Amino acid sequence: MIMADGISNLCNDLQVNPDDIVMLVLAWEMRAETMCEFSKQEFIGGVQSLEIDSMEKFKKKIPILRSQLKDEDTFRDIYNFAFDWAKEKGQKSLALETGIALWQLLFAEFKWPLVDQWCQFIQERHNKAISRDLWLQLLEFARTVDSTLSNYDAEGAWPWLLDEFVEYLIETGACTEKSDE
Amino acid sequence: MNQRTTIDLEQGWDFMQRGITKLKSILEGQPEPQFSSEDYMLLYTTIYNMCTQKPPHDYSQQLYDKYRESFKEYITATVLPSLREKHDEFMLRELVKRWSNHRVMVRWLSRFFHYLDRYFIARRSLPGLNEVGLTCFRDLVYQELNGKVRDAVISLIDQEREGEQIDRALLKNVLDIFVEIGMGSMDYYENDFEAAMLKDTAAYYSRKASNWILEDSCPDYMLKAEECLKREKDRVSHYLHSSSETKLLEKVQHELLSVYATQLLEKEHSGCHALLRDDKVEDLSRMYRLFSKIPQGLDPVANRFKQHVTAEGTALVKQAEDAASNKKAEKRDVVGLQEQVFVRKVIEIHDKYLAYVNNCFQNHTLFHKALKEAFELFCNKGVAGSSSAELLATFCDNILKKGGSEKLSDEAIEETLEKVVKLLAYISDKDLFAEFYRKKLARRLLFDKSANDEHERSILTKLKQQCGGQFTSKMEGMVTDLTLARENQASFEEYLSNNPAANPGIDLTVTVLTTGFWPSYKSFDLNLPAEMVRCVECFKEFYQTKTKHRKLTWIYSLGTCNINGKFEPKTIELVVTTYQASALLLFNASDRLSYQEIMTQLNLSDDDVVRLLHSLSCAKYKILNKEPSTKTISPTDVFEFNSKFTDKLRRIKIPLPPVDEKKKVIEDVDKDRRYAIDASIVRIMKSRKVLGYQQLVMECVEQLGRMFKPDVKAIKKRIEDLITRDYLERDKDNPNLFKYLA
Repeated sequence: MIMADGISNLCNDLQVNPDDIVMLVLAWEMRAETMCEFSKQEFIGGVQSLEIDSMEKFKKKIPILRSQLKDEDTFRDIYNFAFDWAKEKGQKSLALETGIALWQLLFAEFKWPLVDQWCQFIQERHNKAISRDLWLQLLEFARTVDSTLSNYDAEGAWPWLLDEFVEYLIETGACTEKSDE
Repeated sequence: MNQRTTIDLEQGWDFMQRGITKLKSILEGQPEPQFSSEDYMLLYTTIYNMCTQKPPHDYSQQLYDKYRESFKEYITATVLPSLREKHDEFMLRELVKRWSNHRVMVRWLSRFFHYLDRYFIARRSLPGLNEVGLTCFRDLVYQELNGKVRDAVISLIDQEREGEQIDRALLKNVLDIFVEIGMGSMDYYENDFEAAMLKDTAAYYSRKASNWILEDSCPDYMLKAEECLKREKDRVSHYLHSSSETKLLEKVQHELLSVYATQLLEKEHSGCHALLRDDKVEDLSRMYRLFSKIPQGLDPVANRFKQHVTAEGTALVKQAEDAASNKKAEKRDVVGLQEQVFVRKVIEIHDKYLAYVNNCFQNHTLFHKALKEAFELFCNKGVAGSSSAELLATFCDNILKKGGSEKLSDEAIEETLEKVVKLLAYISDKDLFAEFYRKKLARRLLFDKSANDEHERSILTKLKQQCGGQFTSKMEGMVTDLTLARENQASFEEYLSNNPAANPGIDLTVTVLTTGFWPSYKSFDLNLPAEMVRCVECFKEFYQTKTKHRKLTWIYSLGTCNINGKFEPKTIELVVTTYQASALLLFNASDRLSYQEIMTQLNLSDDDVVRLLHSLSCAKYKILNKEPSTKTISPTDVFEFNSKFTDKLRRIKIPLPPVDEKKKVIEDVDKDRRYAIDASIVRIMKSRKVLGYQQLVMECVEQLGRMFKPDVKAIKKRIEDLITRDYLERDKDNPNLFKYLA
């Protein structure tokens, strides 16, 4: 079992920051169950499937792992994976702080312009754990609704927090309301 | 058989010609003896003979032609000249006479020539004699004159419209010609007369209407319109063909009503609004009668009715708001007299406008709908922070409780209750009404404040009829519980008299209720004084003998006690709540107690302790002396039994003001709604398995609409909650689609 210390050693060896998003990609590749942990089986299995047998090869794999984030479908898989990986076992939802940290990490990569407002909103107005549905739908929202909200449909099935977020954006002046057609 | 001599054409026709000339003389009114049967026989026989001779002496064809020519000749020589020289009404009279003569002529001639009809015409399928005769008139007279005739008729009609007397019988006869000339077809009447007449009618009334609409008030205009329609209808029955009635009236209605509908209904000082405002019932009835006849004519009337009722209702709301804000701030939470007046007034305008719908607007669904929509609009606004649901429940309470503000006879109460229940139909938050109603019903039942059991049951029956059995089942349960509790008390008293040892020495009445029926209350909160604990134990023992497996939960906050206060001047019986009694009994053991001591000994919350100490030391009856002696309770106060207290009465009731339950009621209803929405979503999804978001929300709103109007956001939250609880999931590819997870 590799725990937090082990992972920090691994990062040193690989010369990556433990906060680097690539570590999330690695965890995804290894099908890790829990954040900051690799079981022996996960690690060995992962290393094998990545065809790594030396530190050198491991280091070389890092840019390749990173490049996978560019692929939209893979990114979605990783994003969805992150929820279960990061939440406390036995809980149904994800702690708010962990969620926000992950969002900042993931959306920095995805380049969603509203990520800061979102994180601020969710802290100010919700301040509770994040449900899986909200987690999954947020990426959908970030992917499909443009940053001026011009194609946001208030009648749609977006989780209510996303509806509130839109109201919040309009209210705080971050976005102007759609001029009615 | 006799051998007949052959008659040649010239000779035969000569004979016929003489007959025809005689006929013409008769028609022209010259002195001439009538045809005898012998004359007729001879004429007929001549034709018969000429038609039955062997060829080439069979003159059927020639006679058939000559028959026609006889008419032509007479028409050209006599009829047309006489018509041409006459004009207008005289021409019409001449025409009627000529037509009538012509028909006589056709009748006689066709008799003389009858034999042609039987064989020659039948065999060759030629037009019959009668037809030939009439056709001659049509082709020669009618075709030439119908335009002139039509104009003359129409001008007479217009004269009559202007109030002149005209010869209606003449017009009837003339128009009959248009019908008869068609020989079964209405084409001549319709094309040559009716079309132009309708056009003229339209023009006539268009002219009239354009003046009237400027000069007349709406009621006057409608009076005229109704009168015109009546006259036109009358006109049809007197001289037009009955098939013209609908068309004619449609024209008139169009010109008088459809064209000016908006202008008429919106006349500033006399239009629809003004009529409604001034209760012009007769004019409104007339308006309904008139506009019900034109297509979509009632829509704008119903619309204005709705606007008017909405405005009236909204004004009542505003009035009540103003009255409420003028009241003292501290009393604002309690639904008071103003609100009572408000409900009264709402009932009044409902009565009034329902009568309008039933009478003026003849029960038309459009107006029922307008009334409903108007009431729904302003009834759901609420007044000064109280929802209408609460106001109605309070209104009922005031009527049903002893000494309420309304002093009414039994019949008046029944009637009022009936009306309140009717108003409830317009309230979307029926669940909120039910909850408030239950709270108030509980107080009436438990504190013996209900004025009349029959009325209690009667309103429940009415509510049940309107909102369904589920709506009232708990309330009915409450009323029944009380009956059962009385029986139970009787058997408890019997038990005590059979077991004197068990008697706690205090009179005890216990009302056992069924948990689910009643509003929820705090239980077991108070530290009961030892005397009362004995009572509770005693009752528990008795209850054990009656039933097993039933748990008793004690709600002390609803209890009352009669205790003797041994004051120095005299002993006074104090009627207090169990809370107050418990506090007072503490002073049997101590002379002085601090706020903190009282709170700890009673095990009650600050709110409760403040409330009850205030009632005992700061209100009307100061049973306890407070240090410092101020008007409010603070946690540092110290209390002492006021042994000097006295009063005129031997028995006094020390009221403990009830806590404002509004917030709790609303919270409870909110919680119930969450369950109701959950249940509804699950029900829908269980049957549909997969459903789009919009559809789900729609069906959910529909299912719950009978009880309350769920807001879409609340439904959304519940959907998300059900997703978290794995009842539903979102479709992986379509986030707007939900699936039921069995």
